[in-house]
Amino acid sequence: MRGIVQSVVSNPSVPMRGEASKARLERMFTEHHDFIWRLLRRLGLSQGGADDAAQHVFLVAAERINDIKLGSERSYLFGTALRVARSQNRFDRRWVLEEDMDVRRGEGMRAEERIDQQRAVDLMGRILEGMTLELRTVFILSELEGMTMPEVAALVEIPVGTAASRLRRAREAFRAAAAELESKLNSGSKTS
Amino acid sequence: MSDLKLIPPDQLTPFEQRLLDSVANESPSPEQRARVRLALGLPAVAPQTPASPPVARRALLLKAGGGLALSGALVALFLGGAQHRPAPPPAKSDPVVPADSVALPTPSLSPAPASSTAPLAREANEPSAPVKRTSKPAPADSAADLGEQLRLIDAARAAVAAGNASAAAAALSSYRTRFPRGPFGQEAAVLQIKTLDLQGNHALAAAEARNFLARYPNSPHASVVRRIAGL
Repeated sequence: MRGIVQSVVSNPSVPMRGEASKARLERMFTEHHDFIWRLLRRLGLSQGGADDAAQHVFLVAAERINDIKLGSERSYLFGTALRVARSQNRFDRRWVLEEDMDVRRGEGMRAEERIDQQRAVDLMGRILEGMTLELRTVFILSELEGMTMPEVAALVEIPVGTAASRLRRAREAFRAAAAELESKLNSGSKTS
Repeated sequence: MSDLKLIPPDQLTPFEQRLLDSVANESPSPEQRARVRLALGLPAVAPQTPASPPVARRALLLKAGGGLALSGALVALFLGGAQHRPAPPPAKSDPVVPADSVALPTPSLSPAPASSTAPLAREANEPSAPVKRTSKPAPADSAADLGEQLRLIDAARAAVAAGNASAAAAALSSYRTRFPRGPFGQEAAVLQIKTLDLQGNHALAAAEARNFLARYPNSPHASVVRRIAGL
């Protein structure tokens, strides 16, 4: 890691990379950077944490570019992002909801009407955090990234049936947690 | 495999829809994209507004599904309308073109298989459509500023690489004066440390390096800074 970071900070043309590798890195960035950033966010990192972690993922990829199999770029970035997120999550907590769930209160308003965008993001984060990493990953890729089951299975390197089973369980967990939060929000409204 | 597709919108409660939509709209900032490009040594291109914002799969599902009238109205109501409007279909078949890559010289991207049609019609083996639904256009001024910031950081970086400490210091000083709260503060700080080291001011470089590590313990640049700090 040290070598690449040092060289990219001090020298725009990283010595170990030829033009072909650079073009490949460019494609990897163009095609996958935003996906990796969103993945890191949904795995629980703050915006700043996701920024740093995404950069870290791509620096690692740049260092190992010659070892990454052609056609496996997304898979490599995905695996690296999972590892970086696991390590970064120890320091960087994204979800900071108070237990009393400070939302806009209003008689007669439904739960979904009383939460603003940021609060919705935080609530969704809390739900995702309540899932195991296996369920969360499949849920993110399928429900939020819109990937098909074969794509999810290929990326996570599990059989399609396993991916489907995890998705079903993740959906159940999502719906149960959402129902609980909604009920909590609605009861908060009644007592206010 | 219909049961393995996205949860159909008519099966989602408005609250569930609201939660899913909230995270579907997140995206990295243009500054973040530029920062990573800079770190990778890729051409520093100022972010531009994409000509055709990508279409969100879930947003299209809402449109395609019978639940549009109810769910769409609720979503628009909750989010103030404009922010959450489904984006128009992209003009090209490749929907995933980040804003900052539009003007790249020759990215030689292989065109993505057609995925701009409604995702509901997508075959199982087709690549997935992007999730982002909206893309906030960067104001022209901030794009120009970003380009200038990148130019200064690049100049400092090139000067450090060439061993020209005074040119690096001048570029960094200009950066800090003109963009005191610029998004490349970390990069400027690392280059400043390198410049001090280059000038032979090792003690000050080490002190600055320790300050940097205290402030950004998880920075991607931490390893190189740690080395300069002698840690």
